[in-house]
Order: sequence, then structure tokens, then C-alpha cells
Amino acid sequence: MTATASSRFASISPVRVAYIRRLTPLGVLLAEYLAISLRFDIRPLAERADWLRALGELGAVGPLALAIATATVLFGGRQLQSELREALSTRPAGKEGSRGRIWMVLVVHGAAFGAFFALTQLLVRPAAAPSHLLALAWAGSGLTTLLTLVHLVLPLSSLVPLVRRRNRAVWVGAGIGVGAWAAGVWAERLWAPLAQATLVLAGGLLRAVGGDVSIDPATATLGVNGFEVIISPVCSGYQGIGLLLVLATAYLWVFRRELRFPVVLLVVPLGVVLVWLANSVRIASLMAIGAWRSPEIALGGFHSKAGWILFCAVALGLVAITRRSAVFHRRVRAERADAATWNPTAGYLMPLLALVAAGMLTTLFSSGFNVLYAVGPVAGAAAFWIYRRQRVQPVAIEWSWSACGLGIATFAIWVALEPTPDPEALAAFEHGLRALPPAAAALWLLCRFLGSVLVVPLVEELAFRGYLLRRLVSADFNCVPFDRFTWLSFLASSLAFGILHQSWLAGCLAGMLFALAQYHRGRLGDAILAHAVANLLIACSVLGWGRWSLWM
Amino acid sequence: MGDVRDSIQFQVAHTAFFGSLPRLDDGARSRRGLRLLRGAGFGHVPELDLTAVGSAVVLLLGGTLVVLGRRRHGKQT
Repeated sequence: MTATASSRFASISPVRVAYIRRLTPLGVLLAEYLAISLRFDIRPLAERADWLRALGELGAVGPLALAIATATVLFGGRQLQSELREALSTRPAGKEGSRGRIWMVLVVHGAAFGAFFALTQLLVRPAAAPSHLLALAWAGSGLTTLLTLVHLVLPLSSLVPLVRRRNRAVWVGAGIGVGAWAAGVWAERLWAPLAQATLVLAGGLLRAVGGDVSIDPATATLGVNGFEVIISPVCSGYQGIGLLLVLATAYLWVFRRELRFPVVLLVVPLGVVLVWLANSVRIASLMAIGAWRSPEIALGGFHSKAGWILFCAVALGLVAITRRSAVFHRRVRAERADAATWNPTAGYLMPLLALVAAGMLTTLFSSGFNVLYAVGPVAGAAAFWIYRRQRVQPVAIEWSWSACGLGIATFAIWVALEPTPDPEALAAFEHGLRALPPAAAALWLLCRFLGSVLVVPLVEELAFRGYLLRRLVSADFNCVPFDRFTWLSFLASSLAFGILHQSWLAGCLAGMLFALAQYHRGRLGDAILAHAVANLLIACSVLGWGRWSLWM
Repeated sequence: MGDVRDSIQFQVAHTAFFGSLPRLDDGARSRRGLRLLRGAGFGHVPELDLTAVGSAVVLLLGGTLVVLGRRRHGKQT
């Protein structure tokens, strides 16, 4: 197994392997940054009366450093980019690249991170004394944590001469980065006026449909027929606008050779206006649902999901328009002429996207129990059928004892690691199911059973094992056999699968077992079978023993 | 045999793995999400429904990959 894995790993291009090795520390840095943020809330420090409050604002350093690094790479010029690529794709010479030196840096990094974690715990205590020594040790361990990882990405012996050689480009990039960060900080002043504009537009829309509307600009309160909400700045649509600007910029940059400039730049203001309008419509709809149908639905599923649905619709809609219109895109006519275009990615991903999109839409009008659950699996199955010709290898499922065994093992892990159910969520689920007439409840259970055992394993395995597992081996994933093993693809696809499940650890382990099922005989069908067996046992556990939390 | 959940080993393992990571879709996890992103320097992050965020990320990322896939394979028939 080890020899096979090793030789398969070597089949990836050496440059790509070098990139992966050198950039992995950045992933570690991000994970550590998020872990610290998840464990500790540093902002209460900013409310202290002593000098420690200055440390409470240090969270802003992350976005500033990111802005400077991104701007330097993007605007530093081709020479800097070329030298950076060269430095990242080659192993450092001499002692710098030796295993001993790398291990030494890793040990120092681990110790520094451990110290930083422990000192942060001391620092964020409400009763922490304002000690200069503590603050100094905290800053020192944090800086060491950062520098050791940067050193693994690009040794300081390479980084410092590179910065010296290209100091002008670095200054330009840093200036642009600081400017972008400062513009972002300044733009926060627009939150309040934008919230007022959203309030006025949402109120106008509600009046147009005959609502008895009350608006209090001082408290940003909007009311319709006695149902009132406060439009806080975070509901102004500002975040959506920011996110759209990021996505639109990335899209225009990645596809710059295919798009027609400068006319395509129109999508940026168009997207900003559409996102803001969509948010105003969302708030007006929320008010209408709350006033005329159900406040629970308005403030539950609708409030949290409608914004994301509308944002996705605007963002993906703009991409679709620019790719289908000859006004914005250079190759539209050529692609139309080539009627037999082929997109295997769609064949593997569209069923999952249809399932997720339908799930989001149906939970929009639910409050703890999704009565329209069946729509998701039907959409997933429909997409599986519609895009069947985009997949080169047909999906064939044959009996396999090993796949069944792995499915049973997955079930055992899933049940053992099941988080304690939330009593309120469980009660809402059971109440929703019991509120249905007996025939409708039976039909719902049947659809839930079939969706869970037949459709979900199919669409999830197509996406995670059929596509992602192989896409992480090669961009031409269609040419990668299903039994091709690499540590990166095995771990990353399992992690992605786990993150999308409520019980992330059980999800990661399940992803690994399904991948092993596929590796064993080199068949995607075996992963689907293992997944289906696990879900079948979960369904039996739910229906036989009433463990509803497994289906929530 | 008693319920595995009653065992000390299970309680310790559960606390270790889930003690600081509540469920994705409840309020506690939303507040964690809020704290996490605020700690990372984003002060205006509202209480997030991370299930909705996850679905949106899947749709946006998946949609992008499908577009990129068409670009890469579009000429192969």
C-alpha cells in the first residue's frame, strides 16, 4: 500500500508537488488563525480601560496583511511574479532545504503556537492584570508563530534578497494594499445611510402591495400591520455588495482573456445595484410573510436563507449573462457553432448543486421541519439524468461485500459520534411531522427514506469521490482512474465532505471510508454502495428506534 | 450493555471533539461563527446561519467549477 501510494504520488508533476509542499504552511497558518479566533474572543479587550485595549484591535492586522500581500503579488509586475514562482517551485539549496532544518523550524513553530495559545488564554480573562511582560511574551510568540511558517513557504534567505531586488514593486504593492484596506475602513461609514435607504425602499414596496406601513427612521424600525422589525446596519445589503465586488473582480480577472473589456466592467455597478435591490426585496418579503402568514417562518428559515439565495442568484446570473452574451464575451458565437460542447464537470457536480439549491429554496418557508424535503432529491435525480451524457464513465453499481462492510463501519462511527441533539430543534422537527395528516406524514417518511438511501449517496459520491477526489490529482480529472491514490486528494476531499455535515469529524471519517471503498476495486459504484448502506442503516435506526436527530 | 453515551470514554471524546464546536445549525454555533469572524478582524459580521453559508459556498464554488470545466473541456467532443 505504501509503495503504491508513493509511486502514485510521484506521478503528479514535480513542480505541482513543490507548490503543494511550499504552500501547505499557509493552510496551516489559516487553520491556526481560525482556531485561535474560534476559541477566544479578543474584542472585549478593546472595551478595557487600560492600555491592553490596544491589543483588542489587533484582529484588523489580518485583513491588512492579506490586502498588502495580495496587492503586492497582483500589482508588483511580471518580474516579481516570475521570481516568486521560481522561488516557490524550487527546493531551497544547502542547509536551508535539509530535513533537519525543516523539522527544527516545525518544532519551534509548534512551541511558539502552544505558547501563543496559552498566553492568549491568560490575556483575555476579564480579570487579567495589565502586565507588560505578558503582552510582550504574547506578541513575541505570535510573531514567532507567523515567521516560522512564512519561513517554510519562502525562507527568509530567499525572501529578503527578493524584496531588496524588487523593492520598488513591493512598495507599490504595499501602497495599493494599504490604500485598499483604508478604503474598506472608510467605507464602513456608509453602513448607516445605506440602511436608511433600504428601509425606505422596503417600506415603499410594502405600501405598493397594500400594507399598512410604519417607518421610524430614528430607530430604523419598519412595521407592517403590527409586525415590526429593526433594519440594523448589517441588514443594509452592504455585506452583499462587498462580497459581490470581490467575486466580480475575481471573475473578471480569471476570465480576462475571454471577456470584452471595457464593456464587461458594467457588470460591477450592475451587480452592486441588483444585490442592493434584491436585499430590499428580501426585507419587504420577510415583512409580508411575518405580517400575513407566519412570524416564525419570517424570522426563521426565510431570514437566514433568503439573503444567500438572492445573492447566489444575482452572482451566478451575472456570470451566466456575461458568458452567453456576445456583448460581453468573445467566444459566444464560436461556442454556439460547436453544438456538441462537453462539460464533464457538470455531469459530476450539477446533481449536488441541484440538490443543495432545492434544499435551500424549500427550507426558506420552513421553521424547524422541511415539509418540502422531497423537492431536493427529485431535483438531484433530475440533474443526474439530464447531465448523464456529460459523464464518460457510466455509473454502475455491483454488489460488493467490502463496500457493504465499509458502509456498516461508517454507520457505527456516525452513531457513536452523533452530537447531542438540540432539544428545541428536535421538538420543532417532531411537532412539524406530527402536524401532518397521517397519509402526508407517511408519504414524507417514504420520500425521506428514498432520498436518503438512493439519491443522496449518488449525488454526493459523484461530487466528492467522482469529481473532487480525482480533480485534486489532475485538472483533467476524467483521465484519472478511480483507484488513483494521493494523500492530498484523499484527505482534502474527505475534509470537504466532513465540513459539509453537521457532525464534521464523523463526516470526515465517513468520507475516508467511502474513498477506501472506491480505491479497493477502482469503482465509483462501490463508494455509492457503501454510502447507501450507511444511510440505509441510519434510516432503519430512525424509523425503528425513533432516533429522529439522525435525520435532522 | 449500557448506552455507549454513558461511558466516560465517550463523554471525554465527545467533549474533546464537540465541546467547543456545537452543531452547525443552532444558535450557539451561529454565535461561534460570529465570534470567529469578528476575531479575524471582521467587526460587522451578523449572526450567521452557517448551514445557509455552507450551502451558498457550495453553490458559488460548484457553479464556478462548472463554468471553468466548460472552458477547459469545451473543445473536446
